[in-house]
Amino acid sequence: MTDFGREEYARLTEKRALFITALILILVALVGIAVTLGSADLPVADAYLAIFAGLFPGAVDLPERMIESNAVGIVWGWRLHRVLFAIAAGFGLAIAGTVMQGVLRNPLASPFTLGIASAASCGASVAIVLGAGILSGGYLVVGNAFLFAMLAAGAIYGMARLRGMGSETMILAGVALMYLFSAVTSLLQYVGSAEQLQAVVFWMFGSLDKSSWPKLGIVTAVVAAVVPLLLWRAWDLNALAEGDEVAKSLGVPVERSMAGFMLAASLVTAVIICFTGTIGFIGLVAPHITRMAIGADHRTLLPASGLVGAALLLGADCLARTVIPGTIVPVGIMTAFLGIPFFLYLFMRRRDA
Amino acid sequence: MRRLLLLVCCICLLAGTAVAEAVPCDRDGDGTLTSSEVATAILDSLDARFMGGTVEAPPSDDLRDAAFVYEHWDGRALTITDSSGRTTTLARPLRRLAVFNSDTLEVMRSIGVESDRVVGVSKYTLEDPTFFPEYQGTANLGSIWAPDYEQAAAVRPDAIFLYATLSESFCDEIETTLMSIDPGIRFFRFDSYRPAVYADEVRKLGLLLGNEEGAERFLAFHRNVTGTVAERLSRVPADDRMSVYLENWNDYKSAGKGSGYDEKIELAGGRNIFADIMVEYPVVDPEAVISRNPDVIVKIVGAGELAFGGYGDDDPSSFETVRCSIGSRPVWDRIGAVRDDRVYVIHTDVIGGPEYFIGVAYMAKWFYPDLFPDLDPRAIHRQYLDEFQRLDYDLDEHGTFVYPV
Repeated sequence: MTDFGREEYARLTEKRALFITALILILVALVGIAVTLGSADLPVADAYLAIFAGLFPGAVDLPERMIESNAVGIVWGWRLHRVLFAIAAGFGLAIAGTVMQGVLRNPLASPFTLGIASAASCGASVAIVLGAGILSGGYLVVGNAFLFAMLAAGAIYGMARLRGMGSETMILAGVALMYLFSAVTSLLQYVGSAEQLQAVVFWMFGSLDKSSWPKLGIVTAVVAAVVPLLLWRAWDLNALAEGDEVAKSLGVPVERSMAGFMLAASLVTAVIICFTGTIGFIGLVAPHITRMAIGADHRTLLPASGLVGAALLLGADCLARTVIPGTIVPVGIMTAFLGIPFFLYLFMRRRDA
Repeated sequence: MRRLLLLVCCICLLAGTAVAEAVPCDRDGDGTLTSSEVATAILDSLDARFMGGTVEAPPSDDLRDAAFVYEHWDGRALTITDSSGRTTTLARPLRRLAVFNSDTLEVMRSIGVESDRVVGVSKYTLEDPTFFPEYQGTANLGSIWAPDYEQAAAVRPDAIFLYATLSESFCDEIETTLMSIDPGIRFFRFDSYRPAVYADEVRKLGLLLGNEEGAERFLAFHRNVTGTVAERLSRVPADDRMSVYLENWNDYKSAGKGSGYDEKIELAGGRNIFADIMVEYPVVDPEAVISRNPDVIVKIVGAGELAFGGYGDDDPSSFETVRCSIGSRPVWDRIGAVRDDRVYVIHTDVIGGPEYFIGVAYMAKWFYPDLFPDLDPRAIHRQYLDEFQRLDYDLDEHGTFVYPV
């Protein structure tokens, strides 16, 4: 019996290692493809040479045509940070979704069902339509989106700290928040001019067009700070998943850790979507896909679903940039096109089995 | 790594501005090209090319740029402030222009900027082949809300033209991103549709692009229209001004204090019945329109659900339908404008953009037909298209802009 369990566990560990290795390989391949895609029509070799030339300035003599086409500028000033941003954002959103689903023990929980995304949209709309905000210039919209998302997160945190607030009540409260913020956004759209309406709609689509090196730095720093913390407490998530009583009996301070997890997940989400707009779905789908593949142990589920999220978002962005030549389809739309069929396929297959 | 990149970017930026600030062929380096400096440069280059001379001649690009600076900017670097208040100094002409703002593109055409200088245009320009036929093969930059950065950088523009007061945060974003791809690009922000700054913007664009004469000619035409209207309206006392209800393509979406439409109603001698509302584009209560009882109703079409009319549509029947539907709104037959048959439909092309002064002429004539018996907005429109847009477009055969005609 014990031997059997051990064998089973070893097989599972092997499966997990395989899954994660495969994901990393896929990600590397996607990065390799992504840097060569774009409307500037640089030859593949030029794109790679441009990366090299940017890493070691002066080490290579660039051919005349690359100076003519500004290949180094295009790759370093635009493509590279976008690709890395897709990875960081996909990773962060997926982990945030995993944590929320784990804490709330609800497969429908995600930063979007809890109202954080609609709060961010609401903040952006206030900036776009009323021109009011905490920061000015290029960061007016971003600052507002972040502030409003954190307001929603704060509300959720506060509710989680309330004694006796169960996960179902929290989800209900989150949905209520979502409706409240959506109503404010709709009101602003109602009184806005045609151009402001356009701007709000485009912001809400969710896109990586707004990425830049400093923004990538901010997102990476926050994800890098929060993820180890979550991994360290992954056991608590496993315990929480068994129910509040089990968790309590194992010595997990339930209310406090629930609130902590929600706050961390909300922070990561807020930092990402204030730059990108609404990229839904990654946070909902990535954890499910991963759980189906390697099970629900949060110690591996967290990093693995992060990698799934990164691959999904980067893959979606590659498609978004190429599916209609000369146009970039907002990646928020593309993630749904890519994620849902795959998700449904996995579901169907599981039902059959 | 990131720090290294930032450093590289900064160095490029510094190098870029330092190089750009010297006027070409300015031998004594005093920042002013004199006629003798230009003459020497030209002679040196002729000597080198045709006489086998040994004097080092300026590259032909420098010579060309120097000639431009001498001719258009009095031999000095040009310092110009755009409508967003930013000041830029240029020591060389802008040869390659990327224009996100199709209103500015239209003004460029008004002042005679050659279309081959424009290397990239917005997707809205490309979606309008009737009005912008010469740009149909030009690179598509997307829109200010969803720009195609790679394309914008790949066309290697000297300057990119954006809006000054429209979606400013999006325009900021475009600047930051493109600066990091190519720090040499200059940015200029003009609206080209706001009456208050229109003439000033036309003049600045003329100077910036070396089309001063074209700009002056166009401004004389523009002044002739707006001046005539303003002068005659000055005889109408404030109390006798027509009260006007304006509605855009969305039902009951009107214009409040400070909005562009409010400004244009005033220019045409009207009194906006919702000028007391502080929201720029309020959705008003139909009852409020009835109780404020406007003398004239102006309905704007050409976008949203009412996306018809304009240059590409020759059928006025939809305008008629819109006009009838306003009159048949419940209880609106009590409104003076409906009773006296003073409901007018106008297309956004002649009121919302650079052609706003044509719309103002139409409205002025609608409001005060007795004051403007000789004013012919259609003739103004025709002259605008023939003389300044140089479009092969027969206004008598094509297009639907106002109803009733």
